[in-house]
Amino acid sequence: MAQVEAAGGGLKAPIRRTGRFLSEAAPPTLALFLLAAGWEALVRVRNIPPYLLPAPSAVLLRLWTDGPGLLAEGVFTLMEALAGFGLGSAAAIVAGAAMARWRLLERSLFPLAVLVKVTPVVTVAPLFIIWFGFGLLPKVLIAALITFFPVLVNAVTGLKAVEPAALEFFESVGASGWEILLKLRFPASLPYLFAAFRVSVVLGLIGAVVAEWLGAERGLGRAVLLANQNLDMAGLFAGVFLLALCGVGLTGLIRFWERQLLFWHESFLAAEELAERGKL
Amino acid sequence: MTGPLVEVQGLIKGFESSAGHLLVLRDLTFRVGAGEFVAVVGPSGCGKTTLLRILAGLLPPSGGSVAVAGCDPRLARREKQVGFVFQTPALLPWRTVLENVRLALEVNRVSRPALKPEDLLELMGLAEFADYYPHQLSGGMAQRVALARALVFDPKLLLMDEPFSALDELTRSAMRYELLRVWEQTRKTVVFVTHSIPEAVILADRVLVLSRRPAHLAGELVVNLPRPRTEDMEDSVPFQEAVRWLKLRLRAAA
Repeated sequence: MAQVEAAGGGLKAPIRRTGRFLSEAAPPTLALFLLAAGWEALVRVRNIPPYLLPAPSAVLLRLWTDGPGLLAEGVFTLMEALAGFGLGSAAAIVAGAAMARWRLLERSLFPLAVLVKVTPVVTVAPLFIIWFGFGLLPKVLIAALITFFPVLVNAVTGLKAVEPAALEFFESVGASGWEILLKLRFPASLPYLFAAFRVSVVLGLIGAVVAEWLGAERGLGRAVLLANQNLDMAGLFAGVFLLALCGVGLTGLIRFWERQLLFWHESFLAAEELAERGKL
Repeated sequence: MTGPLVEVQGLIKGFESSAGHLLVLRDLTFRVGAGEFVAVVGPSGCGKTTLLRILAGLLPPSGGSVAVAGCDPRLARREKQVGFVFQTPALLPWRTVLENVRLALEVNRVSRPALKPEDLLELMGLAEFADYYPHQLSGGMAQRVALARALVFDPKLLLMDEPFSALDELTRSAMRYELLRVWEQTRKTVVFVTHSIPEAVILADRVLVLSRRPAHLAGELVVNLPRPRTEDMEDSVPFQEAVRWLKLRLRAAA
């Protein structure tokens, strides 16, 4: 039986995974390197002034000299984004559960949520600065707001995406609505939730940065804005680079949780199978 | 055989829809004795599943009376007298085999069940697969887990809604004898809905034929095959005769 073999091959799996990672990571790394080399050559050959476009080497140098300072700012922005993402997602899941439970609530509020999902909510950021000041709170709230709607829409869809027979089974053994929510609807919605998380965690970062532009004492968004005002393009690119790293880190965190929690889902099983076939 | 476990008297079931009133079951009357294995056959969409759902207490009847173990089906369900096996296994993919079997116990906060989930898996020949996840199982194995899950409260009545219809023919045949083996050991009362006449004959003590919608009882056959049933009985004359008779009845009813 194929399943038994798969379970027995546990020792080889990490090695295989590392190999797959290397073979997947090599081409984009090379592409990035070539791109940087071309950029460096362009700046040097055409003699482009640093206040228009800094050479990658200048950006790297700036990262080296200002690194610790920028990292400290980065911690602030990351905290704002993560806190906002957590708050927004938690609120969205609770609201989604309420909507999945009470049809009237869903019918009246869900269309509005879909509308707001496609609205660029960062535009209300100036209002939040007026209401909540220049501290951490408005940044967290904007990141939360921007996270809320994509997660809500997917939560409502996911909470209802249960197999009818599974639902009947729960009813046939006398499960309460609460138990059906916790033991059936919530786990079944995880694939939908994670699809939203992957998008909204990065949106949360954008929300935090935009909120910092409008007035902040700390953060990478503020650092980037200051560098821009001083025509310090190397500083600006260094900040953008770190923000990109934040985005990669946050996405990686979501991927990691997804891997832990969704090992049973088709998308993962299909990916595993494709990887296996690729090896042959 | 003691008194009837299932007593259906003049059962009527209709649904209100946008297209108007849809009558599904019309004046259906039958009994199922305790420990009896009854198969129900009928044309597609004749209301067999509706009948099972009424017996399970998941749907209220529109008229007539239904009693399971002497009481209202909804009460019988609440007292865990009824186990249900669906067309699809409907296992939770994020739970292991054992956790799936335990699910009903968790929901009802039962810590000392009449039948231990581990023993049920043993009975189904799945003991070594307790820690597997559903995606690691074949279709037949998954349906065996669903059967174990339905038996966890040791119910008096087992309702099965075309449980083998999604399986390939070889697995399907093996599952019939697997079910018979388990039935010989547990002697549950079974109401088994199927599309397959040979399946109904080899499994059941008695086969009920439903007419097309609105369904009423169009025929009834007592299967004259000794127990335990074996595969070579499928070549015997009584088996073939029963199949032929049911085919004719079904054609007349459709």
